[in-house]
Amino acid sequence: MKLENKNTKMRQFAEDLFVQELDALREEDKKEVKPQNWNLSPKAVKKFIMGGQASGVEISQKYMGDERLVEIAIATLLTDSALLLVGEPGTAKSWLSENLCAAICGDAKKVIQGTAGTIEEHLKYSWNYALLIANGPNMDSLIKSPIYNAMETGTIARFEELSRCVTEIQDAMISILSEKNIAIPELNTQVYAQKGFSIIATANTRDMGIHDMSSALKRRFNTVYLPLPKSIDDEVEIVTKRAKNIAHTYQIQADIPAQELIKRVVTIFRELRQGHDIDKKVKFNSMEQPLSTAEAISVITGSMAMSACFGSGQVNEKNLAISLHTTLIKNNEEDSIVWVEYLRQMNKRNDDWKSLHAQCLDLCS
Amino acid sequence: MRPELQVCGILHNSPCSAFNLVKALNEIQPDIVLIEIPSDFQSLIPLVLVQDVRPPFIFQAYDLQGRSINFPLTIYTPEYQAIIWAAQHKKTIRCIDLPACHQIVYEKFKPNLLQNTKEESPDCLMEHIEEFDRKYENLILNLEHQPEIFLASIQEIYQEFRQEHESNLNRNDRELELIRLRESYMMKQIEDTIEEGYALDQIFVIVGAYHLKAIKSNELETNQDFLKIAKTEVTINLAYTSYDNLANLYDWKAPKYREMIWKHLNQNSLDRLPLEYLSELADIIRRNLNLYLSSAHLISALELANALAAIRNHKFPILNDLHESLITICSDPDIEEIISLAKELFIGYDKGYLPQEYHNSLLLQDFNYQIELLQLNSFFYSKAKHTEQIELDLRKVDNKGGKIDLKKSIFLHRLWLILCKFYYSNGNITNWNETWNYTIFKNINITLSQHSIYSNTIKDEASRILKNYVIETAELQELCHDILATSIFCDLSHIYEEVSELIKTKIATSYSLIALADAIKNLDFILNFKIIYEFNTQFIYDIFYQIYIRVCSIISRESHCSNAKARDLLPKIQYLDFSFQQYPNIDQYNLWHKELINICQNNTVNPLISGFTLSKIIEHDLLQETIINNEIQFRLSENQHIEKATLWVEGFISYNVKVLITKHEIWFVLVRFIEQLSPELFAENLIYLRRAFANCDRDTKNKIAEIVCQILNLDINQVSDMLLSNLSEEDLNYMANLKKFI
Repeated sequence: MKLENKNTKMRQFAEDLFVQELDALREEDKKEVKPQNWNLSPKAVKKFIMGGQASGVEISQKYMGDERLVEIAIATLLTDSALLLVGEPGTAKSWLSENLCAAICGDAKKVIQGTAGTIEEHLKYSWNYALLIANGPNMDSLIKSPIYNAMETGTIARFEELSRCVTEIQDAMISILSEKNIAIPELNTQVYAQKGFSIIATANTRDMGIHDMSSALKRRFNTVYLPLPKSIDDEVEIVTKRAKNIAHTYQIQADIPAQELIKRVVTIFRELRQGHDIDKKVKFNSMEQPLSTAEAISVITGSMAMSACFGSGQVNEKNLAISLHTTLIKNNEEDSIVWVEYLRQMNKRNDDWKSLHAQCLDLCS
Repeated sequence: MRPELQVCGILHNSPCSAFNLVKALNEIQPDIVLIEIPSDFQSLIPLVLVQDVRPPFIFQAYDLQGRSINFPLTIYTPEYQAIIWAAQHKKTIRCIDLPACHQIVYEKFKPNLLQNTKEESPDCLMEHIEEFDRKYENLILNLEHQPEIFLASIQEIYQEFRQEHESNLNRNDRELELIRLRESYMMKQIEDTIEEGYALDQIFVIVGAYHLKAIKSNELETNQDFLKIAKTEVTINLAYTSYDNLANLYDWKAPKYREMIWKHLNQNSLDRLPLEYLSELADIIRRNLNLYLSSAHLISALELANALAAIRNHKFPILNDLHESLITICSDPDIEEIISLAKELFIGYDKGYLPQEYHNSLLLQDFNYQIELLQLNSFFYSKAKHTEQIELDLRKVDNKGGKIDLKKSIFLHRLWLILCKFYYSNGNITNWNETWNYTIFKNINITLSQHSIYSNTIKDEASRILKNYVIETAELQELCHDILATSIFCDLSHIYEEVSELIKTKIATSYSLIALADAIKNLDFILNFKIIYEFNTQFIYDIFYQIYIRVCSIISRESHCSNAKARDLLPKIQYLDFSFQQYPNIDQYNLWHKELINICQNNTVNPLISGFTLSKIIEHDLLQETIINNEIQFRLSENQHIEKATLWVEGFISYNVKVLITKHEIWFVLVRFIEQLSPELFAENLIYLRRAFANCDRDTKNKIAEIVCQILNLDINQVSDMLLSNLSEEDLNYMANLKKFI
């Protein structure tokens, strides 16, 4: 199957990607009471995220998971607290954050990416030094941060990977979230947050220990934990959908693997994650690494790329075995033991899968 | 229709129904209140009005076959409030439902009233909360509180429910038959009350909303002779219960939370209920989880709960809204633990209170029935109780082919579990005898009375207690030995599966060879009992296999250890090897033998273990002679570190001295090895060598002497004398001065 993609951008923001759906929801939502500076009512936001119908337009499901979590996230944005989305890598935290912003304020681009190099200027404001030297400190030489912009306009700013910033920088958020203003001492003024302002932050559970959040900062957030997909069918659907999107974006000249193969990969991931087989009869140790849905997607797309480049374009068990091996065994001896033990245990039980298991075992020896 | 007959349709167990009912009674002030309670419970009404008696309790009727009708009453049960109102206002109250002696005939025997203890799991608690929220919360809290509007709304909802329910029932269904019978009987009682001379406006009828339409219509058949309906002999009883008992056995949802609703309804402060609930839950969390939750947290939680309620179209925050808001506010919550702690607030553990003379429970009835059946009367009720002893032979078969002693043993083990809550047996495996003394059972009646709120039979109660232990037990050994053995001695086979699942989980995460070997030993012990107790052993073999795979996976890693640990491991590996030989078909891939070979040839594992594994390999004939000889040569070569080599020798012969005697070529290598040592090195490592041969008996020493003499061309008698004689003083001093001793 040949894929053609005429869109030259690798990735569009949600408000651009789903512009028709947002318009339809706005149309339907005209008579509903909306919080100040919100484009949609809370129920319409929920519909945008969870899917449905609006003004005759099909609203696609953006987040596949418990709708209660989405309700809590939306309800948080109605209160004084900011929202912190926490979860394992690959649990759609950033995706949900982006789509919430797109629905609520139509702009998901006010983003700060947290890294060890994030400084206070990234959070508040910085200066155009050429103009500063030329004209002195004034509003023209001020470079507003995404948070600053969000405060001014009463919209939502996003802070990705909050726990990757050093603690001192994280704590700069405390005054922003408490006082809801940013002081600009150089200009003897401050910017006050307009109604509708909030922050959606994300943090990875694997990184939570890197730079612990202070309890003062934690108190300013309502934390919503996004779990891995509950059912195997949900996860298979997510993996299939995302694999198709990636294949389309990167023009991978290979067919999407059969549902049965994708289900096998997802089953392996889930069993290793949970430490027991699907029937809960065979137990084994779990792996150290997270084994997220994102990695399952990576296995599928990796095997597709391999078959496209070096095969017939049809993913076979050998491609899957190689892709599984490279994804699961990341130079970690403990995980190697667990993987081999798993293959030996499960080999006894699944006749259909013996060939895939045998290929994987060969790579291990 | 009888427009003047005042009939109130209520929801049983509903605080809002009770609240509005009392309002209605205060307004109407009837002379007689007729309530939908089986009429043979009338005699219990004066008992509940005694000062000390406190709900929750149960109006109970049961027969000899173990069928029962149970009518729980709590402080917020509309019927209970009606009884209290009537007593306070000195009005007549009368139970008008079909008597329990008739209703019980329609009841099926429920052999195990106990819910699976998975009810305690966070998932089941979440389901419990959701069902409460779905069915009752909206109904209770989101309706208006004026009596007529509230009660009218209930009627409407239940009319629809009844239509749907009846459409699912077959015309000939016994349930439908019973419903019709009960309604006809109630209508007859109402007619009789009118005939007694009560005016219609003086009568107030309270029935479940389900029956309201039928009672109010003229369509019920009241002419039938109710005396001819099938019935059975029943015992009427006022029984102990508790809120968690009501939740587990009678499927009540959130009984404690309903009490909170009742309290706030009476104080006209329903808007404070969310905050009070959150505040109490926060307090519980602080105490148990050491989690910091300030007033600011509570304010945020309440704000979030209100926002959630608005999004979800609830008038008030419901239980799920409250829990989710507090969990969200706790930035690092263990959600499952919080839900488990919240159980104290929405299910609760409050017990009712009944005076001692009211105790006459099903559990005690079952106890008396069992001791009669098992001919244990003289044991429990003998006058000389302090001397009474009973001896049982578990293999004994009576002339009818029954194993009555075995049944007695099972019964006594269950009683012991209920009384003392730990595994005990003074049995003797060699001859299958058991001896039981009465003194350990002297408080049995009181104990069983207290336990009667949980279960109705000895078996159920023993099962419940054991399941609680399964949940609490952390160690693999305890599970394999205490819990599993107890479940077998008490013949509670339904627990095996649950325990075996937990055992498998422990095995999968165990990195301890010692624990795994002990687990196998415990399982071997339990298998001894299969002849007597005749249980299906497949689950034990499944666990064996699991242990086998796990041992094969970790033994290589565990073998890289200190000498001290290696010494602890050797007997365990020996036992594992012995055990695995008992089940030759355990593994078609012979993973165990492969691991032994890997370890034997691995130069980085502890030498004690690698030496030991070679002896096993020789014993099982797993490798060719040449390979074995090469390995021995390598281990005892000049290039080997002397300490490592001597440790290897120690490991090699620690459990298999026969190897030394049968394989003479080893001695050539060993002799050559010792000969090349300098006197100092020999002295340093004499300790290890001495310990290596310490366990050899006289015969073995003689055989070793023969072999060594052949190799070194020495006189056998001289060498033998030397080996068997005591060390000289000089030698002893020399040994004492050796500095290294491990």
